[in-house]
Amino acid sequence: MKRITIDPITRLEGHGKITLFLDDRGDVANAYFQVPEFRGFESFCEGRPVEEMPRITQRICGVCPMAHHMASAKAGDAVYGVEPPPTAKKIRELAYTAFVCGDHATHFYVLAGPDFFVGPEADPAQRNILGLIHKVGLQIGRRVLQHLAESHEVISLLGGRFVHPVMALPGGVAKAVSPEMQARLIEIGEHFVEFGLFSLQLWKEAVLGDEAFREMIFSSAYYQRTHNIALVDAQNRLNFYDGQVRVVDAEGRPVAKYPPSEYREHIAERVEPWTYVKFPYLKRFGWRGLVDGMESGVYRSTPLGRLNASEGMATPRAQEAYEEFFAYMGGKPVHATLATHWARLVEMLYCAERMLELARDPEITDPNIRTIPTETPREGIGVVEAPRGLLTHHYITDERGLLKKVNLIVGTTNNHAAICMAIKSAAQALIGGGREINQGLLDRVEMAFRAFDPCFACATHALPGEMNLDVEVFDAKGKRVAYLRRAGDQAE
Amino acid sequence: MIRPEQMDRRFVEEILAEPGGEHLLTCWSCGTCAATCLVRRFNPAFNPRLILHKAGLGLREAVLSSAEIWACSACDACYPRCPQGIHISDVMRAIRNLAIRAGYEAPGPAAQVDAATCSGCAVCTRACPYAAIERKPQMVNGQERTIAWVDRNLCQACGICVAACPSGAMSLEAMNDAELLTRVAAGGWLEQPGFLQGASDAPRLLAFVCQWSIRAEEEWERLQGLNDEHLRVVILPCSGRVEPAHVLLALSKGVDGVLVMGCHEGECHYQRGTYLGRGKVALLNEMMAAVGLAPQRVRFAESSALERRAFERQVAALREAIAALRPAEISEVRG
Amino acid sequence: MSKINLAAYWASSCGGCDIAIVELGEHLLELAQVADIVFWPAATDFKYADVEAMADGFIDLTLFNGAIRTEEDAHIAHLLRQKSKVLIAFGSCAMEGCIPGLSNLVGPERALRRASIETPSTDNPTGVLPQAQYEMPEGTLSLPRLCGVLHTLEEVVPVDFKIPGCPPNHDQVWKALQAYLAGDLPTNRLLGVDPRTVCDQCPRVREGKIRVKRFQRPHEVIADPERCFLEQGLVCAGPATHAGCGALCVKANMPCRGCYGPPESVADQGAALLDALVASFDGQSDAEVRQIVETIVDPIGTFYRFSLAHSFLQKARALTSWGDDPCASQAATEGETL
Repeated sequence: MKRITIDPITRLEGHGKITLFLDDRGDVANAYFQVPEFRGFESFCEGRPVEEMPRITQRICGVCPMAHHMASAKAGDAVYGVEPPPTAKKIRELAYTAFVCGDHATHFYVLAGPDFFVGPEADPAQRNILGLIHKVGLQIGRRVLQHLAESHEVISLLGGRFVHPVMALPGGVAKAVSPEMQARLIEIGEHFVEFGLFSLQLWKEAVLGDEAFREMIFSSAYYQRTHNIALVDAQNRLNFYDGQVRVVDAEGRPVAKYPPSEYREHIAERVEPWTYVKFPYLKRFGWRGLVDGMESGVYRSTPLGRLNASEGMATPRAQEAYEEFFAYMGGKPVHATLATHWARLVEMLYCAERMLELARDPEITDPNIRTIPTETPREGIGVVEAPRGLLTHHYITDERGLLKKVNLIVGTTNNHAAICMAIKSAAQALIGGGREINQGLLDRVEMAFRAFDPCFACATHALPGEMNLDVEVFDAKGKRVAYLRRAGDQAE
Repeated sequence: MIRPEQMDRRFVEEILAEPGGEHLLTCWSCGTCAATCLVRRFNPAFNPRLILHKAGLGLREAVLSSAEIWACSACDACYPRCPQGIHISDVMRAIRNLAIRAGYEAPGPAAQVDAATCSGCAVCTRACPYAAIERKPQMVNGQERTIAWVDRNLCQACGICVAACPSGAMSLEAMNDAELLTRVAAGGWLEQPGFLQGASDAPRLLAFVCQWSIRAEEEWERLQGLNDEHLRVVILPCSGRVEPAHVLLALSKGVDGVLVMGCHEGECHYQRGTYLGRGKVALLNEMMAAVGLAPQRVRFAESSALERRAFERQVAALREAIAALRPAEISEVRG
Repeated sequence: MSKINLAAYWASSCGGCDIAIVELGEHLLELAQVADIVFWPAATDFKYADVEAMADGFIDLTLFNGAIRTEEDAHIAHLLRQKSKVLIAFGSCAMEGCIPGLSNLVGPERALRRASIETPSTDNPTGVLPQAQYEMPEGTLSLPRLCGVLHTLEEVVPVDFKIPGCPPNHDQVWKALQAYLAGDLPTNRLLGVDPRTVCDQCPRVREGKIRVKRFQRPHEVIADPERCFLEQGLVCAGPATHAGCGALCVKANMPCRGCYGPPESVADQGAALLDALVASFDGQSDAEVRQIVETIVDPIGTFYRFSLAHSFLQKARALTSWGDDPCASQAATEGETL
């Protein structure tokens, strides 16, 4: 069979390659997405002190270091059974929502944006952030750069620096917010909200207002009926920092809501020998292969999945944007993969408003930001919504707080099956029928994964080694060759 | 012959008045201190009995101008043996203070700070057993910076600060990292594969030996004679001078084992060096185990100047321990 | 004046070094005036085939971040070396292995077994692991194998300059780029640094002569924000770390962990830090010293957090091989000096 390779895939975080096999008619017989990188964090985190884990695990990803930092710190709190003071939690959530604001913008403008603002048919040499700025003009370009700079500034103020910040440790955060810092944070928060509204407006004008893009968004090439999960508060509104996990099926029915510590009851993983990343799926539906639909356990943990699995946003302008989104897209749940970009902007607006709310909170300048742990460390689970999906850190330590076992389920990993399917579905819809295969077409195939904002450094840290799981292994012909059940290890 | 006009009673009184010098005149000149003194074994010109006696006779010029008053390292081996219970190193210190005031200086060598490299991190100030190092504002290349400054009158050239300095800003004549490494590697000794790699018939050992932990001069010469393809002996001023980087470099070149010989507890010539040597080896052992290297390959062994053939015994013991390593222990793959 | 051709690549990397380039912000617009980016998978659409088609030396400057963990990393390192006039090891992973270098504590086989499912109570004779070659009905899929050890860039290709940091501070990146553009390059081959160690840039007060009876961990105590961490008994890698970051972590009230690599002329960062810590021990007996040693948790992960792959300790371990290394090095640099 003729083989076309897209290597490497670009404008995402991490390594990946797409292999398309074409039959004699020139149609796509199959498309495989492989992740060729691997570093093995879980194995070498054994023996490390739990309070160092926020600074170690954040090196899984330098695009979303704050996500790992925060999940790790929360796991560290749980390991020690220590409750940070209220101000410390607010500072963490403030930093975290500011981070998501910046990260979502980085994805929308730097990584995915060129597809929309420069276009898949453009010269690849122009299809990047510099080409985008050239296209939209310096005024907008500078505004984007300023937003990114301000998101970097917030993290640097609170955590020393933007990439690999040092703010959190078990029991609290290292640096308090002074009145001067608060004033600046409020100022930035206000800019963030304006920028969030601006970005949504830009999307509506430049993308929804473009007939070709509109068609792409609603096209079956980029459509998958999968289940959805999100971290939500008591009112089922999306929350990035804390909450319970809510599962809403492909038809929009809520089917589960569980505390993050019970993840093993709900998620299992499949092993494939042709990629370094595993495939989580929902146990209640089971694994049916790389297929979508109600019967398949494949789910999405993306901005689209989060909007589908929640019942609203906890801040007013974001709630308006949420309602507008579903009204336009035809009701819940939405399965149009490219609509994820829009959902991402809705989330960005929420994070902006939430960050501003916290910055204005008078408690934010309280100097009491640390609780010293007193319990003997044992085991703990910390969860946040990373920009790219639900992130779980699970630690088991010895009595000194040195790691014995580490389990991580990382944002993008949740979406691995969905990404593979999205690529195949786009490839099969766009390629074939005698059409000339040019770089623009191949970029449209890549657009299928870009909507997920994947982070493969995250997805390939390694996967859980010791959790309680069921795994079924199939050969290429779909025959089950092994069934593995591993009883999870608990701390004594 | 000493003439009466050389005997200055006021000199004696100054010493008696100086903190530490109060008991000068209770000295019987019995010579027990000189017989015990470790410095004297390597520097026969240094005689504590003679210095105290001359001081007691008021021989100001002779005492203050001598190089020997700077040689006492306050190891205090003599103190418990002095029948009059004189804290002799305190008396030495008193005499030195008078010498400094009279404009004399220790002849050295003393540790030296490379001002351009020093960050003022203060690690050396904690390392020095004699509190001889401080951080002081100094002009360096037109800029004022607060960096390390060594009081050469207090420095005993133990080299502990040279090892401690993490940025290579401290040096000591004849005992720099580069000089020690030259001795380790001389004659291509590091370029030969070892026993654990199956290339040598017996374990190849590197021994860092504290000069005070072995007996006298003849031991020095004898030790140098023991150098061969299976053994390289490098003398250190103190086991606290041992460089973990040198130990690890040796292991990375295939040396089978490293022996660090230092003084017994309580007998360190420089008060704390033996503890630092032990601390370094303990941490090296822990890290070796963590990375899958047999920790018994690097060992701290104690000895003193009163023991015979301690070095040979330690070398034999380490050889035996390494030769007994099973292949699984040599290349332990964790898990 | 014609523009230079600039490339940036990530091997086994977290992406943070690429974000450090994005953090240049408005400077990116200035950079675009003098440089054409001809390959940067994070942010542009050029593919490997585009690089293969370039003439040797077509790229003026390549910023290569990430460690050499897989055959693909090694292959692209060789490719970019061939196509680049100047190759820079950008960031701690490329320079000294960084945190992923800690995987050399366990080796690739165990790491993969750990990442896949450890043998459960049922038996699994095939023990499924990712395969280098796998047959699908349509054709063969391949994955790059893992190297026997995680390598630094210089262990596989000659490197012209290095920019340390995890990641390099974006101000330093800009300074380094400007130095390159102006032709103002140092003989010691280190760009983007300031002289001496982090202590030189640290604002905290050091009294000196303060020794430690026990070390504490950052979450066990609320440290005085004005005083040196080491003098408060908290491990800080500042004295053994090259200056250049501006002591950002310390200013954020957390001790340094050494991401800017060793001070100049120091070959083994972990050994230097070990020396500095032991020097401050306040023990007067063997037992006391051992007690103090006990309070330093995880020495190897602390002293060698960023530099294990580039240490003498690593080289000592590597004498006993992990098995065939598909990334066997062709390094041009010779030996180690202190």
